[in-house]
Amino acid sequence: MSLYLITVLTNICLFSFIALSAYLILIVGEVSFGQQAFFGIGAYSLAIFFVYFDFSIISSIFFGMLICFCLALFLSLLTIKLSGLYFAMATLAFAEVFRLSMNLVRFPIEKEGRATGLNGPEGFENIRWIFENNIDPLGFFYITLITLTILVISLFILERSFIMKNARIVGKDIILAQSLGIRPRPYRVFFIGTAGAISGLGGALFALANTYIEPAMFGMMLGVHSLAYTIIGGLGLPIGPLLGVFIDIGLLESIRFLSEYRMIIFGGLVAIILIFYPEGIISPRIASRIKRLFFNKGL
Amino acid sequence: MLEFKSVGKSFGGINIFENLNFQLKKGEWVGLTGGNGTGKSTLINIATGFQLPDEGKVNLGNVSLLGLKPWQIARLGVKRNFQSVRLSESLILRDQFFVPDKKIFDNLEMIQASGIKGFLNRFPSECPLPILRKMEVLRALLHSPSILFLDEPSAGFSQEELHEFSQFLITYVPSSISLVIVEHRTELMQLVCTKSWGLFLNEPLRIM
Amino acid sequence: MEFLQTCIDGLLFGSAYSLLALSFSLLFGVMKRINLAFGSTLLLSAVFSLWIDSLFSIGIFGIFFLMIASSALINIYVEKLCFYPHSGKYGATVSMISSFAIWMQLDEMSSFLLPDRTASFPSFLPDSFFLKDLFIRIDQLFLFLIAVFMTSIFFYVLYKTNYGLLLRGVSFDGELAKKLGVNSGKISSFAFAFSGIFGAIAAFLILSTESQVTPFFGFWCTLKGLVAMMLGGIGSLPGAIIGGLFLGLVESNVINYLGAEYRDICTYLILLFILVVKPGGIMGSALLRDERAASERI
Repeated sequence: MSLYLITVLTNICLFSFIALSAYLILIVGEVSFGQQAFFGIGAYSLAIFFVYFDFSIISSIFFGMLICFCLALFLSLLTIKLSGLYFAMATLAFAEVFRLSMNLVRFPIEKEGRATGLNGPEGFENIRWIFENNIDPLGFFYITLITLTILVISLFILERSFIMKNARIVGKDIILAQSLGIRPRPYRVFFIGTAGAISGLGGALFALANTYIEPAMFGMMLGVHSLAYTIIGGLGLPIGPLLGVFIDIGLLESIRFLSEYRMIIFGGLVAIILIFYPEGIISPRIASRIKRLFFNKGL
Repeated sequence: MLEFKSVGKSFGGINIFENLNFQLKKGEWVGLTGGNGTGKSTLINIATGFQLPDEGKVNLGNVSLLGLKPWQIARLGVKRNFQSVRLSESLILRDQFFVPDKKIFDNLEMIQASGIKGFLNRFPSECPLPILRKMEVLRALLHSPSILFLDEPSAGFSQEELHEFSQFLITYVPSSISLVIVEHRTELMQLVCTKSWGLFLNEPLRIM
Repeated sequence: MEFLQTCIDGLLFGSAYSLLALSFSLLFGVMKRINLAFGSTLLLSAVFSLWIDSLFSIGIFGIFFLMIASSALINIYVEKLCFYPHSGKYGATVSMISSFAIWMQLDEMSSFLLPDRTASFPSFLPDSFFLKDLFIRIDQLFLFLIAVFMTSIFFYVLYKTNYGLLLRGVSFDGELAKKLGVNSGKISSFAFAFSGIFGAIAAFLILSTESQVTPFFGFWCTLKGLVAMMLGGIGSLPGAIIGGLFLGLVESNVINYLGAEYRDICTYLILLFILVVKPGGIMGSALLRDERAASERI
């Protein structure tokens, strides 16, 4: 594989994490403009634990995810009464507060003769895990791919459980959910928290792959893109968001002669796809059709 | 036993009802009728916690239902359906019971005999209205209610469909459940219910 | 004195935010939709008008009217592509994402017409004057007055004309309005065109006080408009004005006392705080409650 192809594939995997986090929140019926914050928090926490405190890579990632999970729980409890645009704007405000404060925090250090550490808008340089361990781009691609595969498989397992089924009614028709005796709030809180952790995991891997992160990488554009990926891909199955990422990064980035017009084409394409598939390509209805074909429970 | 004690409710200054009193005993099947705007649906909404009364008490046995959330009341066994069919367009019918698979298999006989068997693998948009209404009743029954409110279950039915639906209710709703059918028309309740109540504007509940 | 000066600066600049918030509020109040492509529509119309001006030198009034016309047209394009096909509860999210996609598209088109990344925008008013010791930019004062004036027009259209009545009817219950024979497609196009015209006037005034246009203008419009609208209270016209002025006040004071790098952080902290404590915004609590009640109708 050429280096270019590997980079594109790695990016597809990395952005799939944040798309999946947007997916989980959309399932419980909310729209978040702030998933980029957890992507960023995951990336920064990894960098801080790994560089400042010399944690092992696994525990750095784990603590990063834990921080994201707790912050997302906190945010969801804070915004427990909000929904729709109010919730979206609250998450956006949270994300921007994070991004902008990262612009202000400076605590540069030197490690093995290289400048590193938090350095405001100049970013966090030299997160050298992949160099220290001699992991080439292809190797790192496999790492992200395996992590993503595990995540998607666990989401598929979750999909068959009552948790996901109930969460989907809560998102789709909260009144029906309540009349069936389903308590909506725990689903919302749990899903928003988990989404934060997933996004944080993606961010941590992103920091490792890039070896350099800066606040500008985690702007609103990233968050809204992740929403767009999920909406195009569809809310039916966990591979929907991956399909969305693939359509944007994979298809358009690889057709290089179009790169100049990329956003013009992609923008129009998304709008047109949404006219024909308002619930995304792999919509819940299509997921049901697939289920009807393959699993027949004997009913 | 569900009890309303001097319940009052008004919307924007218009009294829907005041001083509404009734008791619904275990196993009673009641038809509730009344004109437009007499608060039939509001009564259901209050009993199931979707709306709060302005005054009065609502008790289920010894438990006060006031201040409980709809899902808490539903867990106490007070179930309802809605005027408009509330089924998800993106799921096939057999995925819309929202109970564990085991429960579906335990009640398979009932589901199969009720006439919706051939539709279990279809989307709501591919099913006729009576099937969807039966589906909603079955869904409520699988959640083992003690009190079941049906809000206009026969709206839009032909005479034949109405008779079939009444047979369905008589056959499959256990007699231990209290059933309240809210309707404009009285045909269904005449076929099914043992009691009927009338709601009239600004008047106490009339037992007919 | 310094505080007073800061506040005056803030209020004058805040009037620009008010105008943007009003345009958002119109769409949200009537259509219950968020048009994320709004800012880039304004950017594209400005850049396009400048480009035409560079070819045919149509002058400042030509630019003004061309901006209004093109912005209305682009808005209708956005409406037909992103909003008209999507209805229902889920439609709100889908149309928002769809408009986001078109935002990308319009921004890219603008950058084709703006190869130098920045272009000067004609300004038409004398610069500034001193009132005793207070420095007041006359163009910003003008902006402020225009904001007040346009709000009145806005109010007039919405509450005194037939179209306004139809708009409010569609906003109240789209399905019912359709059954009563209201051509809701036409009404929604009208709302979009109207908000486009309104936004174009706002953009023209803002750009001429800034006297330049950059590719970030679209993003800036969308974000500031949304934030000001949320601060004031969704769907409330006085709320949009107050939200904009409040945002201006906060920003100028923060810049003055804490430094420019804290400006946006404080804005978003206040937004988060208001959303958590008083979700309806400064003016919109009653509206939020009504909306809740309407959505909870079973």
